[in-house]
Amino acid sequence: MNLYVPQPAYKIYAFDRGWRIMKYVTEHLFKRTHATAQWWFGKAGDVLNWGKYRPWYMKYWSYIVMAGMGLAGGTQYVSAMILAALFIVLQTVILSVWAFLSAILMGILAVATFLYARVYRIFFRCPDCHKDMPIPTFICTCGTEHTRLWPSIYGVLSHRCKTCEEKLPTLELNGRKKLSRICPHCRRPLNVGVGSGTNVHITIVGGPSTGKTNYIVEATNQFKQIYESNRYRISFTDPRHEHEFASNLSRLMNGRELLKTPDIVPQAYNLAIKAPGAQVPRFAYVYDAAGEAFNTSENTDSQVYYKYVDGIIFMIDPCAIPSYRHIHRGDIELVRDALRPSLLDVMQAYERMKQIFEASVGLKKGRYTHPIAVVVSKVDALDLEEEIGAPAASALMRSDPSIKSEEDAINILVRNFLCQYGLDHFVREIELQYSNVRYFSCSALGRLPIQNDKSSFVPIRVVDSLIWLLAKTKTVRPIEKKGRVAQVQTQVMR
Amino acid sequence: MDEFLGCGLLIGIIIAVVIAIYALIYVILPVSIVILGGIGLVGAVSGVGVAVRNCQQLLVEAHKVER
Repeated sequence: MNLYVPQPAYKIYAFDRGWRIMKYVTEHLFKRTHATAQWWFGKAGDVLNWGKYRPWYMKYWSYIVMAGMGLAGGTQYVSAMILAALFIVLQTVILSVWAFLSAILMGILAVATFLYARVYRIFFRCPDCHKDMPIPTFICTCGTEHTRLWPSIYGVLSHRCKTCEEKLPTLELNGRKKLSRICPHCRRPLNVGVGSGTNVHITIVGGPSTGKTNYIVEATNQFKQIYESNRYRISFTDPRHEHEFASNLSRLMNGRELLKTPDIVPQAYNLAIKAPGAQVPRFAYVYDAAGEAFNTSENTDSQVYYKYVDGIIFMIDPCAIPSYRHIHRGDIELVRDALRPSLLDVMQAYERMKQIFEASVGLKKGRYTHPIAVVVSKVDALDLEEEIGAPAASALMRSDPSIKSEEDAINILVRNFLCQYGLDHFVREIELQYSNVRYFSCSALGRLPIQNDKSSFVPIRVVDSLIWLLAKTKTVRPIEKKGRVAQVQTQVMR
Repeated sequence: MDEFLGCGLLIGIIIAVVIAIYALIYVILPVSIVILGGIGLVGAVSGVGVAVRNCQQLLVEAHKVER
């Protein structure tokens, strides 16, 4: 990383212009002094000529006057020399003190910014190309690009653009965040949230048609409702993401399923989450790659953002479990069009995720501490709710009083469900690799999507896994489920 | 008569030389020094003024030229 890159801005006076001015003044001062001295010498010559043909006593006085004028001419250089020396000394002292103080201030600000970013784990990462950058490229109002708009020899608190003379602040505190900026790698615009909060990277993994996009939109919506009523401030920092989210939500409210995600390498959508009283917000990057990303190894390898990932939501379509699909093939065929069963084998999706995860994060002797939520989706269909949903959880809690909450019961039920349908090796493998695994069941839509049914989808337990994951990554504090249900119901009634 | 005239001339010459030496020491040299020094001082004073003015002008000019 190059800390110093020439900028289209003026350098601080004490680092550049001050010295050039000193050179200019001293050079030109002697040129002008020479001109004045020449005037005196010229006059002396005139007097000499005047006295040449005069009597000796007149000649004597003319020599005296000529010598006086010569002396006067000589003193011009002496005066200029003394003044130039004074100017050089004074300017050098002022510039040196100025440069020293600026360097100290720059150092303090650089160290403070570095430590602040490290302590709060704040990084500039492009949600589009997923690359890290030391600093975004800031765009001046005149369109000039400033690639290192931070305290430097171009200015401690601000840089002055060479093109339009505008002052550009160098710190987020004094208004740099108001400037538009782009990623230096892919040159796409970066939203204001990038680099302003503790980064949390969440990725959703699953084959095509596992319901990832429906899940994340509904889960985000419920998460926003629940936590905003608990004095959290949750916002999209990119207007494009907000607009997309609103239109997706509106589709779901009108009983229409979301369109298929086209991006094999997804653009992360950003969510700023600020807990009440928190100094720095959390800045979530949520990656929703198309299921095709896990169809081939080549597609999986292109998921470069895995090196940052803090938590994973692994979606499982029950129809993608071979044994389950085989047993329920008749029922699945009846609702195939509405259910749109995923065809990618669960183990295959997991293996590909593991492969890119290991390649990005690196192999470990022990288990990965990244939390992973295994979510079985589409529980509204095929009576799955009775098997791994709330009724089954209540029954389990009644039969085993040591299970205190519905989430714990569902965790056990889903785990058993996967083992029962031949995914015991998947369960073993995932629990062997990751120390923080929890199982969930949900339905992002709450019912099968039917062409003429325009009523809003009512998701089932869609937010539980997201809240668990965000709590595990210390993004939010967990909220008791009882309180959550009441809050979501109130919001829906409104 | 000639001796008297010759003696008088000698005395006159001596007096003239003495007066000339006195004039040189007490009139011509000081006046020459005053003239020379005066012109030199005027030059020096004006030189300082000119240098200060040049310096000011150059500073303004340099700030315009050296952006």
